[in-house]
Amino acid sequence: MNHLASPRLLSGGRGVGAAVEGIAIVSHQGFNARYDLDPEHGTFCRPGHDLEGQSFANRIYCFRTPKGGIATSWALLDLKRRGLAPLGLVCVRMNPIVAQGAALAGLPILDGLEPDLLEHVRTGDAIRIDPVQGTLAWL
Amino acid sequence: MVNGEAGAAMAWAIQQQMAAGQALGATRLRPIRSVHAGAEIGTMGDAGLEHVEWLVEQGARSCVPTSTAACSVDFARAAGYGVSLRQIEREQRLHRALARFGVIDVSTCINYQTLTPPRFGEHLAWGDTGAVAFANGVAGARSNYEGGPAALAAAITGLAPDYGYHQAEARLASDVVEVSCRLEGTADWSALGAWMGTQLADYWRVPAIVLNDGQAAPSVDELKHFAAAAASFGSIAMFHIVGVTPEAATLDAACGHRRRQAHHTVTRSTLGGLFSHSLAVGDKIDLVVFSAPQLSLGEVQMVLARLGERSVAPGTRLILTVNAQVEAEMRRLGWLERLEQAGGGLLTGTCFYVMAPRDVRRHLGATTLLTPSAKLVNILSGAGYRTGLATLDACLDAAVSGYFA
Repeated sequence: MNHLASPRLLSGGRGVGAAVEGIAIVSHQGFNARYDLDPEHGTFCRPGHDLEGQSFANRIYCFRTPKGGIATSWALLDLKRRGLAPLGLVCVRMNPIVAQGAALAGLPILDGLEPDLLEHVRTGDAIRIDPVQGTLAWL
Repeated sequence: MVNGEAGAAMAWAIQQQMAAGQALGATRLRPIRSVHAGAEIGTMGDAGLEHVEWLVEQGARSCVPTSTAACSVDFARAAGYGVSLRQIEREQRLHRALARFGVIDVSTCINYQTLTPPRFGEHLAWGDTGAVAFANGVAGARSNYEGGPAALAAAITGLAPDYGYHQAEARLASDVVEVSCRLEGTADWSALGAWMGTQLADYWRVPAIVLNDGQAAPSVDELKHFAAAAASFGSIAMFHIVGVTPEAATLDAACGHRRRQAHHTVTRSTLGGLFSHSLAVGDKIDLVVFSAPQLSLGEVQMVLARLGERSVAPGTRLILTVNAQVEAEMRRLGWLERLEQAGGGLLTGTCFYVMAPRDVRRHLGATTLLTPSAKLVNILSGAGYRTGLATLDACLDAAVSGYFA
C-alpha cells in the first residue's frame, strides 16, 4: 500500500446524521451485531474476525458491508445506552438494516466513498465524517 | 406529521423512515400491504424494549396486518435450556406491548408458509431477511429489508421508503450464477445460498441462477433455505432462478438492460467447501439441530420418515424448531409424540440461534452441533459452538449414532 499517495479526503458518499470526529477502528469484514459481537460486552467475539477481542465503543467503525439478519437494526440503540456503541459508522456499501439501526440510535452513517475506504483508512487514524457532505477527512 | 400533530409515535415513525430513506436514496414513502416485524430481547435489549413500550404508551397501533418474526424464548421450554428468568420476563413484557400494538403474534420466520403467502407485485415491509429474500425472489412481491424498528415504523404509517426492491430497476440481475452440479435437498440449496451470498456480499446485487440441465425445480422448502442462507451470508434480498421464479422466464428477462457485474460458476467441489467444517470424523455430536428457518410441516414429516424407527443416541440431542401453528398440527397428527418417543425435542416460536445460544450451550454442556442449515452454521460459530453442515440423512445418522461419520 502506497501511503504517500493516500488522499486526505474521501468524498462522493451518501449518508445521514451529524458530522463527528474520532479515532477509526477498521474491519475488512462484514458485520452483524448478532453474528459478531458478544452481546454483554460489545466486543467482537467471532473466532477469526479481524477485530476479535476488540471493541468499537466510542470509535468510528469502518467496515466492508453488513451481513444479513436484522439484529443490527435494534442492537445499536442498546449498545449506545450501555456506552458500547461506536461514534459513527462508515462502510463500503450499507444495507437498510444498518441504516435503520443507525437512525434508531441517532448515530451518523455514511457509505459509497471514493477512493475506496478500506484501502486508505487505518485503525487509529483520527478522522472526521460528514454524512451530509458525503465526506471522510483525516484530522 | 413529522412535527407531532398526529402524536409522538407517528412523528417518530415518519422521522425514522425519512432518515433511513435518505441514507438509502428514497425520495418518498409508498403504501405497503403488510408488515413482518422482528423484535426479540436478545438483540433489542432494555433500550429496545422500553422504546416499544413507549411507542405503545403514546398510542402507536399498527394500521396494516403485522405479524411477528421468531422471538427469543420458547415460553414452554426455555427454563429447561438455561435461558435466564430475566430474559423470559422481558420477552413476556415485549409481547404484551406488541399485543397492544396490534400484531398477529405468530413468532415465525416462515410467515410466507404458514400465515399467508405474499402476492406477485405486492409491496411489503418485511423484516426477517430470509423472508424478504423469499418474498422478492420466489413470489415476486416487493420489499426491502425492514429491520425491527423500521418494520414498526411502517406498521404505524402504513408506508415504507420507496427505493431498492420496490422499484423494477433494482430487481434486474447484476450477476449470473451457473450451477453445473445437481442439487439435492435443503442442505445443498442452503450451501448454494451461502456460497452465493459470500461471493456477492452486497444488498444491491441480484443473482440470476441458471440451473444444470435436468435439475429438478426446487421445492418451496428448498427455496426457503436458499433464500435464508443467501440473506444471512450476503445480505442478499432478491434473486432469480431462470425458469423457476416469476421475473425470470429467461436469463435475458432476469437481467434486462442492467450491466452484468460477474459470471460465477458453481461446481460440486465449490459447494463441498461449505460442508467442510470445524468437526472431524469420529467427533462426538452433542446437538443435531433442524432450524434457521423454522421447519414446515412437510419438513417435519420428512425428518420423521427418514428417522424411521431409530432413536436418538444417549448424550445427543435432536432439536427441531417450528412455529406454534406447526407444533399444533404435530400434536394433532401424533407427530410430536413420535418425535419425543424417538428422543427428539421441539423448540417453538423461536429459532435455535435466537434463544440465548450462549446460555443454552453452557446449560446443556454442549459444544458440537450438526445441522442442514448453512445459516445456523454461519451464526453459531460466533457463539462458541463447533458446527458442521450436513445433509438431512447425515444429520439424522449422527443423531442416532452420537458421532459424526
